[in-house]
Amino acid sequence: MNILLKQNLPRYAWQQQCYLSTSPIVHSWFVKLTNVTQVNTEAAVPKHTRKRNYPLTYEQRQFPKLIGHTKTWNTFNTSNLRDGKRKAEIVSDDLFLRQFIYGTWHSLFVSELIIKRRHNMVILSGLVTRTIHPRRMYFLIGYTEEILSALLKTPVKMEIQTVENKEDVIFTYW
Amino acid sequence: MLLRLFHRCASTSTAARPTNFTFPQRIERSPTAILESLNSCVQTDGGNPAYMFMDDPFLIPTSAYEKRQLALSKASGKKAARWIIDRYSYAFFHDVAVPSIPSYFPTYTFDEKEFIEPDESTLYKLMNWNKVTKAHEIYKKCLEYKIDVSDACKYALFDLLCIYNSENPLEALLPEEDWYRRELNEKNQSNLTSRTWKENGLAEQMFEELKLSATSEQKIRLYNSFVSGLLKYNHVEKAMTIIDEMKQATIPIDLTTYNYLIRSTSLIKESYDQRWQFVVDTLKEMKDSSIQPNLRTFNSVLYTLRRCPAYEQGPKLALAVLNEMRQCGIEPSLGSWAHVIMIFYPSDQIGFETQMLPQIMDELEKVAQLEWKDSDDGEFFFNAMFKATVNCRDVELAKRIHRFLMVGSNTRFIPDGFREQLYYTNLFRLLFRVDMPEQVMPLWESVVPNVYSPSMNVMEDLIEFISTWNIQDYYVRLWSDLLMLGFIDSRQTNRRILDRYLSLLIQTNHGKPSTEQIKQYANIARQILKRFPLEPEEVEQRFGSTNDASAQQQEMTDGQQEQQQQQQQQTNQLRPKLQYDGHLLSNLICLLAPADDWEASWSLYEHYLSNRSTLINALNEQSLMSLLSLANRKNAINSALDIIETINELQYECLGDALDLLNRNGNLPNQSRQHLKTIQKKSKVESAHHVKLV
Repeated sequence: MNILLKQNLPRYAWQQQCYLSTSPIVHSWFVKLTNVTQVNTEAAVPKHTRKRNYPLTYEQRQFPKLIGHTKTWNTFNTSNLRDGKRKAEIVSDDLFLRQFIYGTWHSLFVSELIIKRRHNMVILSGLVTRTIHPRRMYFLIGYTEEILSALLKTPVKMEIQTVENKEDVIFTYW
Repeated sequence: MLLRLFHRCASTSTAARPTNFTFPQRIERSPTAILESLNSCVQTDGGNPAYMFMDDPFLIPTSAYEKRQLALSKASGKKAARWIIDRYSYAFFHDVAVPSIPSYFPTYTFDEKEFIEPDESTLYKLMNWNKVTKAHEIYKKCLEYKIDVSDACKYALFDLLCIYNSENPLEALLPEEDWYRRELNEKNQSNLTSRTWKENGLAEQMFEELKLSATSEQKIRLYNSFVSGLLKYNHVEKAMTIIDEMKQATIPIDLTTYNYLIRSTSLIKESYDQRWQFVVDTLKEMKDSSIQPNLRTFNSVLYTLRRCPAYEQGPKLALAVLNEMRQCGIEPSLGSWAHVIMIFYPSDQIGFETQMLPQIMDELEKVAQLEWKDSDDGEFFFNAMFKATVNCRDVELAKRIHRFLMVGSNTRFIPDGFREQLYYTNLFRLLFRVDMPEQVMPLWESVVPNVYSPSMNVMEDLIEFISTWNIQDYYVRLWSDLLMLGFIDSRQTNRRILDRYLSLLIQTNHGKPSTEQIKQYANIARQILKRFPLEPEEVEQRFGSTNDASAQQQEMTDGQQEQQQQQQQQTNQLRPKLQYDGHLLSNLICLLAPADDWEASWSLYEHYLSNRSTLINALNEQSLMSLLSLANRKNAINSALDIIETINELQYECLGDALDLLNRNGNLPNQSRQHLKTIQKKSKVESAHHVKLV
């Protein structure tokens, strides 16, 4: 069982390190001994690569700690306001929608799917590359709108924007 | 602050205060009142694409062909989704909507059991799902098995059979397809008066059967439905015999039947007077049976009058009908006006003098909000514009109609793409012939390309218009418009536009274009060359193979080389192959030479020389002269001599000018001068001999 070393105070307020590993590690008072693979990792915060060639879009570069400051959520609905209804259903619908779009539009979306809910309508937005002919894109749009409306029983609309290729949305290399 | 309060009290005390206060009553509004009021603030705007398209430059269609393609692809996607919904229907039954939305559910699949042991509810379900023929089958089965079917059900089934002519009703098209329904449903294009009623069909069988067992009220319904069906599908002889039967059996005729009867008058009687007499008699009958006519009745009367073209009494009677309508308290709908227009202007020549159209427009502009009241309403705008442009040739009137169209949401009264295309074609053909650019071009910009994609005739008229009015600023813009609207490709039909446009650029009778414009024109010529590469066929294949052989010999094996060659050939075949002729080459040279583009012009000239046998037309004088002056400027003496020899061969009159031009060049070596003299001696052209050569 590991003891929390009080001398190793967390440097930043949000950095809570949980020492939950059960492997026998020798205690040390001077060197911070932690399970490197499990701590020091945060959700959606990539570590620098050796060659610094891991591409990040602008949205991915804004790490989750900035949500609410310089970054917004990817879904807009009123379920979390006072008297908001259907919180759980909306969240699960969102997860389903993201997976559906990911699977139907094969490597076409280069941004996260933005889901907006207005009255009973669901509006999906995002950036799409121009790899396929507009004919095929409209086929996909018609298909997605129709089948998602039938699944969710609400009108679903798509409002997409196109981008020349994936490199256009890469903001930096990490 | 206190002073302000004092002022406020003072003002209210001096004003006359009402002694009693009435609460304003709550105005009952429909659930969509807010949406409707927002809708009234929005007009048709030519700046963005139709609602069904995505608002992104890659996905906005500009030419008519693209619009159709993309709309139908979207409809095709929806159909694919529908197929999946029906195939995997078990996944689509979880419902969260209150009230539930039926169109989001899979279509009802009938159990086998329901067909084996039919029941009245099966019949109702089948009828609700538009499966009328199957319903009749099951009805027959019910009779066999002696299962009781209620009268209401039987008569409902009979009505449906009459309405749909013993067939299943057509599937409702998706809105994207509906816009193109004229092309998709070829049946609509066939003659509207051809007899399509099915003889001895299911409807007739059922009629015979039910006739035997009907009570008197049921008989009324039975006979009326049957006659209406017969008249709807234009089987007039049988309809008249049934009507005689009804009259003998004193079965009263219904309003719907009367409407259909009046509408089919032109099939029953031949001469115009007889037709009108028949209509009047029918209306008298209606009055005697105290049946109030409705809008459809009057529209049918007007329709019948319209089917009597060039009837002298026609206009008078039409006005009388309109009066009658107003007396009955029925407002004429757009459909009535559409018929009136066709009565007053029956063909392309007649009707120039009447002021009917302006009067109609006056009437309509008073109406606050147009509503769709009758199935004929969709013809109004098309007819109005057609007559205004072809008969009246009145620009003000045409613009007035167009302004009226743009008010509010009146654009929904042009129900399909075909009519809209013709509407705008008529409008612009008139405007291009008669009006001035300052007024036409803004209108053109507002409509093209999102609302209207012009056809080739209109584009030709536009080019004519621009050349007449010499709107030089628009020339270059016109090129990008032509590209956008899909008129620049290798098809033979679009060749005329390309030729016409290039001759527009080249014409010199409106003054010399500025250097900026010369550069832009040369750019256009280069774009054409890039789009439609110049190489003739044998050279292409050889070129392709040698290219591959030399460049990739080290890396690839033989098999891969051949594959590469084949692929190259295939892509060359797929690339647009524009048939170059001498005319086109001359035009391109005329555009490139003034801009000092030596390589391009010379390569065109050489292409002409090498393919002289296969090309139609030769290079014309203007192009050769401009090429010569370019060669002169660049001091490419040998090339210049070559050009002069070609001029000599073709025996153009400009040989004299050509010789003179080269003569004046100070840097000409003696050898070249000798050469010029020999050409002059040998040439057969008159003017050449008049030139004094040094």
